[in-house]
Amino acid sequence: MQLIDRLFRRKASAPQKGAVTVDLFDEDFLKKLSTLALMSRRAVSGVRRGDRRAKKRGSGVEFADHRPYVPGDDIRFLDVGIYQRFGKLLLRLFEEEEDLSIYFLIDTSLSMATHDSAKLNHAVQIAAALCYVGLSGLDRVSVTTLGERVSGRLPATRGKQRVFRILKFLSEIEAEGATRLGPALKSFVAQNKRPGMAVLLSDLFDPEGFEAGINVLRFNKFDPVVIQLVDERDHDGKLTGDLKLVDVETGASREVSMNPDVQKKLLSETQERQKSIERFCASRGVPHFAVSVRTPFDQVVLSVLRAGGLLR
Amino acid sequence: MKLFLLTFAGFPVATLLLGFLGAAAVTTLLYILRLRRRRVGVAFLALWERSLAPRKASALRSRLQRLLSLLISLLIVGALILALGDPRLNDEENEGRSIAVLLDVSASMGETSGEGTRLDAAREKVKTWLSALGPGDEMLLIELGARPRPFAPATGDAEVLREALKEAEVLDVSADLKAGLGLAEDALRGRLHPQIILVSDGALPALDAKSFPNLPKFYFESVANKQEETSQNVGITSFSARRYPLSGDRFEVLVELKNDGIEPAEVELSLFEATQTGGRGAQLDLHRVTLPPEGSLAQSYSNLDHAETGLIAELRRVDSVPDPFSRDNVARTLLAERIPAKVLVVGKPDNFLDAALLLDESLEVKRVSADEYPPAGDYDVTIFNGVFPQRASRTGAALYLGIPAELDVPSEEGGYPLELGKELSLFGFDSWQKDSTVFRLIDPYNVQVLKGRTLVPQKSDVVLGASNAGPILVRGKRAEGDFLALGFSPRESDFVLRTVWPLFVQNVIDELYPRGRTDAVLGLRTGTLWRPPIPTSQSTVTVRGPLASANPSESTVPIDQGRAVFFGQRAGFYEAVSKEGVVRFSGSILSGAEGALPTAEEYRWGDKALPSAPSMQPRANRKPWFWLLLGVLAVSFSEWWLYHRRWTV
Repeated sequence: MQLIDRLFRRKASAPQKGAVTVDLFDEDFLKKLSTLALMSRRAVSGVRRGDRRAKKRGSGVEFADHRPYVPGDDIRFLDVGIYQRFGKLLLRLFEEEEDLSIYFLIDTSLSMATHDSAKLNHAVQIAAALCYVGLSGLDRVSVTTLGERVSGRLPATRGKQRVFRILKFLSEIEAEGATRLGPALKSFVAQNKRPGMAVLLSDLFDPEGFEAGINVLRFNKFDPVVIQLVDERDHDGKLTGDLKLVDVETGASREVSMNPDVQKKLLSETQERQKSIERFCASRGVPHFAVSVRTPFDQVVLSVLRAGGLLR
Repeated sequence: MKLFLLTFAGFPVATLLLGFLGAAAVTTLLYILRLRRRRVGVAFLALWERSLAPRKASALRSRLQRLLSLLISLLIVGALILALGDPRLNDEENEGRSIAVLLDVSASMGETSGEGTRLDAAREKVKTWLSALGPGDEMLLIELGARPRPFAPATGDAEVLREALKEAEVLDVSADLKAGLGLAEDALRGRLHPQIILVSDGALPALDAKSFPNLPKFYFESVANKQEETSQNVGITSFSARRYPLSGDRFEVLVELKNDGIEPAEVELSLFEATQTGGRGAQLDLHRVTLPPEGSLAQSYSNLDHAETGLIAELRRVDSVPDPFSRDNVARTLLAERIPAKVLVVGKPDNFLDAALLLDESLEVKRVSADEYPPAGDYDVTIFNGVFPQRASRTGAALYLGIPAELDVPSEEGGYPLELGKELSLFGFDSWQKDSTVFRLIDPYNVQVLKGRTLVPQKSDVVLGASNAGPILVRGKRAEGDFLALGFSPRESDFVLRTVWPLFVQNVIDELYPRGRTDAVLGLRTGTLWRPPIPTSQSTVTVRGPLASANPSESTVPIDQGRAVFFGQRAGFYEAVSKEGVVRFSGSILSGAEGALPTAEEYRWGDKALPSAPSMQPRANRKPWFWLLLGVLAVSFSEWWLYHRRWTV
């Protein structure tokens, strides 16, 4: 009977849900976060203050623009030189420094949950680490999960003490649904008017194209940073025999008989796709990090930080 | 069973068909299961889609490939099932034949031919034919000896025939080709494509082809290493030995030698003592003899001694002519056993009688007077010499010499066993039983008797000698035992003065107490029915022999009238074991017939020589099962290779 069961049993075509299987409250993990926070300061010590400026005029020290004086304005900001030269009262405006908003956008589609949620786990760990570093730098940190749409959101928060709230949110993430970065990120920008850095953690396996999503961020004055989770098992040629491939997100299937030709083509196609992603990001000034799930997350975080542009 | 161009020597077609259907069903089921592809979840199918061929073309090709692969699998299964049937092609060469092989196992086949014997060469020849047996062929192996018999039933199973062939051994007999052909003809009657193959050295008697008008195809395969015009054989054709009657430890032998050659033959004859195990012991005598051309020579050698039981005679040519047949150069015989006899002589001392008894060393003689009769102890023979006391049974058989004056003791009470007839004077033996032991080597006609009386025998008594007036020597049996009565006193005749007198006494003792003391024991001749005397009460006896041979046999043979009866085909010493003891006897070729036949590379049948068997030439291995399996391997390898390369499913 067992044999018959084995012969006739249909394997589940695709997982209906996935979950984070890594323990974010593990003591070792937390220690690593602390260490990363310290190391991040050294990593970003050469970056000048004000590199990431808010687009808001205020009481900063950096000149931004002039505007006509209206009664009630603080006369300390009158431009005396202009008045002496042209006899006009113009007020000097300065860019106001304010807390940086960092949005962590985590792809929680089912493709992230393949291979025992390896990519999702890795994304969550990286997000946790970057959040911790961000909170340590008094930035405002927000976490949003995306699939076909925005599936979860942790409002922006600041302060190191809020890290556990973030970790709790991250550990409760569940993967489900397909990837549709475009619509999902449109929802995100609609919900978050305050521009900031948008760190997208995704495998970029979007059947409609990952480009639409990134463009949505760009066009809405967010500074996108793409951390692409790569699991080599998604495209390795170690599968053998006659297979029926089932897309875990869409349920679409395709029969294939593995042979060296197919393996070779698959590898070539993967490399080509990776290059096109890199080309896209580079041409649009979007920082892009392709991160293997085999690389320890702390190493990933440091390399991301060292690359600059993410944290001050 | 035949099917189209094939004949199946293995499983029948119906079984094969059922087997194929079953195997094909299982294969198809497994194939269907195999087509249920393993489902693998992938993160991004679009990535794979770009790597694969267009879906439509791939599906069509895949379907075709699956079908082809299933056909290949069924082809493999079919080929394997077909191979199990052991198919053979129905070409002419594979037509079923019925072959009777007459394998000559006569004595001449034991001569060397190259590295082995001629029989070895014949065996090898038959083995090559066994390899060439077709699916419908059947072969009957017949042992062509003095009594042809099949080794095994007619079969096409080469292994069975090979095993049967191992039993073939050279027999010390001449082949009876006529009987062999008769057996083969009977066995092949009504069979398909019958043929007879005679495998021999050609040393066979000529046969009249007209005796077998309906004989099937007849072939001859020779294993002779040369063609002989005539035989140059020398051999022993007769060999016997007898102990001297009056000196039992000495003996003489009579040997007859034969020369088939056209030139005189110088030979050396050696006599050996035979050991208890039947082997050759010490040499007793050696003679060089010249044998006349195409003739025989009888020789007797006297005063030989130092042999207890058996003798072996060996002949060897000492001239430069080779002896083509050596097995008849050895002959064996046995010496009669010396058994002592206890003889009681009752009566007055008699020098004539004492002298006659003294000559036989094996007799233990005791003399007593009539008054002392019967003495203590048992005796084998009692001689009543002129006295006629009441006879006691423990004193054994009785010889009455002389006649009583009056019959005062009735025979019923142990006195004289016969009634007396009329008185005789000046008479003699006018008639006597010449084949009786009593008159062995004796002619009593000249014996003159002064006076005596005729004897009146009873119904059961036998008259051994008589004068014209009536019986004078009677043998009979009474309650006390056997007796022999002489109707006169030897002292009142010239019998005691004659040289035959001691022989007569010895003969009478032998007659009354047969011990075989001086019998010449003739060696038995192989190829004949042996009837050695076996003193046993059993109905069967176990015969072992030939002793000292490499492969002695043991068989149970019946006893008929005190003699074991069986057909002797191997020369040597034998033992017949019964509960009464062991009796030995011997057999030798002792026939010039086999040695006189020259070997030949062809055998004439009618007015022409027999052809060799053309259809029994060794053939290449054309058994299709081998090629079927090879094909299966090739297709399997190709299928695996293509599968690996993904040219098929």
